[in-house]
Amino acid sequence: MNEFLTAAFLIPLFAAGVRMSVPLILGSVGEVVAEKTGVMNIGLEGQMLIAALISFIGAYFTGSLALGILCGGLSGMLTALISAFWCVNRKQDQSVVGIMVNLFAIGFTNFLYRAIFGVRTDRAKVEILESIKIPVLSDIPVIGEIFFDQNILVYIAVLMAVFTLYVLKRTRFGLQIEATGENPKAARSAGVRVKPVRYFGYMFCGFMAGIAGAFLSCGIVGAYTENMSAGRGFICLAVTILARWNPVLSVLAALLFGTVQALQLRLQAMGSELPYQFFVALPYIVTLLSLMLFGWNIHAPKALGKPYNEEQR
Amino acid sequence: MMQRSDCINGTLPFECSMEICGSEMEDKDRMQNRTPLLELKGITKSFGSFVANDHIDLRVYPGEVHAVLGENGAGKSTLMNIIYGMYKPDSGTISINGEKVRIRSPKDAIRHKIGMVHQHFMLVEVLSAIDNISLLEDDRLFVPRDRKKVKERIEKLQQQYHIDVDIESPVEQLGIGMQQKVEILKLLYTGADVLIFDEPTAVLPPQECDSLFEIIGNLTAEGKGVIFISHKLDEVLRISRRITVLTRGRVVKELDASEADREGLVRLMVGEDIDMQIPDHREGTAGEVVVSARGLRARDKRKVMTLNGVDLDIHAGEIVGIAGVDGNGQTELAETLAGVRHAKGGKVFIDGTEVSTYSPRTFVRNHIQYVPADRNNIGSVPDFPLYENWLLRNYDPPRRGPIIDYHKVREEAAEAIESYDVRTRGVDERTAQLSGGNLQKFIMARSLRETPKLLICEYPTRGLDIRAAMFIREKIVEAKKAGCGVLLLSGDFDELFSLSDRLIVMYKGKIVGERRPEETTVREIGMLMMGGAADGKAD
Repeated sequence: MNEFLTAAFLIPLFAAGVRMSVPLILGSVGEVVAEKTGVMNIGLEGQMLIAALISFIGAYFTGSLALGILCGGLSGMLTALISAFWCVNRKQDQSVVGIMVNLFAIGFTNFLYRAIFGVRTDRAKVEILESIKIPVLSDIPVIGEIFFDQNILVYIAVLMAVFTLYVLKRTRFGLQIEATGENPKAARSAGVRVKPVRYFGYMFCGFMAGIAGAFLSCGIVGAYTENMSAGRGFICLAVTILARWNPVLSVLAALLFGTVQALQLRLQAMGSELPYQFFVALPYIVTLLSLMLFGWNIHAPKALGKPYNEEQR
Repeated sequence: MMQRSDCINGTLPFECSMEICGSEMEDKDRMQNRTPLLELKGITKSFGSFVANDHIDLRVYPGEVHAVLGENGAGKSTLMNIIYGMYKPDSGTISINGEKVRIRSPKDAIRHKIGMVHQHFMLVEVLSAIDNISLLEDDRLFVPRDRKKVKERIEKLQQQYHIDVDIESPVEQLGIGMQQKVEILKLLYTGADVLIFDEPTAVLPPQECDSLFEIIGNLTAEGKGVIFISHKLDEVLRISRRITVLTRGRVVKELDASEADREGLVRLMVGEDIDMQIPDHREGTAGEVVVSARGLRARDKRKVMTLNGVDLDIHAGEIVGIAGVDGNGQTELAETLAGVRHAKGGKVFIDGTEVSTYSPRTFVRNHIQYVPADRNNIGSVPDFPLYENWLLRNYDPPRRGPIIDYHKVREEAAEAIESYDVRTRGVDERTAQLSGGNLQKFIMARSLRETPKLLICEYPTRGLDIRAAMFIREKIVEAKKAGCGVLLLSGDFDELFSLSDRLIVMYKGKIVGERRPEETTVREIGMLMMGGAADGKAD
């Protein structure tokens, strides 16, 4: 048991935890905004997966990680646009459309990857993002190694969370977003254009999910593997609830899940009597437990998941 | 005419104050010399095959209140929603100060200085009044908002118009009257010149109506034009100068308030004379106690203890009227006696058996029926068809073996629709499609399916037109005559005085007075409602 409590084990564990939490932070910040506008973007998982592949393709053929990541963001946004059209314009059920997007993404990515790279034993690879040491801060013992020796997307993710909170709480656009998710009819009567705001919710969330996907393939792995988002998009939905629709709190919730994920990988690698499936399931078990423990007394946006019909009497 | 600036500014357009003297002018001159603030021509709007508005013309002049009268479903709300850009008209034109405008959304309406207090308030419940009002600001989206500036402007308006309301708390924590004041502040903030009030008094207790009329008076004195919608003829005659009467989507008459009277207006609205008098029903004596409460306490939905120890006996064959300003525990009393809210102290007895902690099912099985204030969400499931709603609060539906006999249910529902004159296309229609009056008749029919022991009616005629309201009142009296005890909550003094055998006044969760309607006055009850002692002194 002692081997777990050494600095040599714990510091890399937490550092990996921070890395693993990045897709969750990005995705849940996007989801917070989407849900605040009243739309539930269940297709987050699919958007993340598609973006993981598209960003990898982008980076592989252009040789530029930055371009690859941008491709990832845009592909996520584009995928979200499909949901937005069906749910905002055609007023379809958001959950059903989201599930369709997720199923579509699995088939689509498998097909596209094989069409481009074929079935080979040597995987196509790209360089991964380099870590950037933040001067001074990275010299702090322990904390520095865990938080301030990471790649650029880690910092961007946290900054985005703070920035998003600021926009939501302090600007008129944030107020419009909140009003649209709480009471679209009242929002409209106050001059807010509900449809564009909800479109924005979908597209922003898609873009963030896209960056999250890009982070997986181009940020830490350097390759694309089948179904590499592996349910992270769904965990983002749980993070959003746990964080009570607050982007900064979602950073904390994401850190918890990220750390469990990092731990799970290490436990697997160390070899144990338990079958590896148990460890793979660990993050999801923690998700369920935490929703059970902390998921009470929450106020979801009142119009969440309800299509808005302008002329309904 | 009035100068309109594109940005919203704090000062009100006082140029028009010169024209207030118009009130001393002859009405005819007024009509000839002035451009209307708002003019509608030939407005038509259909929903599917239903024509809600059929070539409606309407003119609103500065400094006057123009009332629009009509029964439920006459097309008043539709018309107002068209003016405010919520609906797009199929045809017709809208002019402001003589200029044709296109209003495609509320945003356009706000830009053209039109404001509206909706019948169902348009407030974001979790936001404070300040934030709700900030939403209306038309400045850049991503610049940090200047909450302090907005707050200062609101406070200035509050002082100017004597509107006292908490602007920091989420509006969901405010009472209905207060929420309405927030809505009025919204209008004032945008500097609207045309103000639409869609049935503003339907939700207000009588005292608050006066303060609303005062505000409306101040607004017209400044040259604003007000469109006022109401069912209550006394109010309309009291505050308006012009009256337009709508029937089935058409203007049947436009007339001066000075040449109108109650009976004439009723005839115009309904197309026939109707008897507004409730026949005397107080000769019989009350029977046994059916339901009683002892030391009853309950919390409201915000978990505040609003019912603080009430002792009450309701007898068979009597109507007990409850008067009180909103939020003084009446609702909680009704809900606790209906079994839909658990008491936090005290006891409820039905026929002498304690049932305090039982489920609503026990109350239903013991023949307690409940007509809730919220017809659309608690009284019915809006997305269910009528015949399924017929089964609500009915634990013994007709069965064939273990299966509900829907054939029978539909027959029962159809019969009820027939005998209660519910205007609908049939039992398969969703209840959401029913107008307020028709839905209430349907709920009444369901509640009186078998004569209950106790019928609890919360604001049963709120928002209903004259004919529907009279129908509901007659049914309440019929139920009483059949030996049913009735608990009647109402904000309408006429209703309370004409129906109740006993009047009970509640204040701060307690019963502060009991009177017989024939031995008291509206004034005395009003004083009691405000917490004043019976001798007329407020404490």
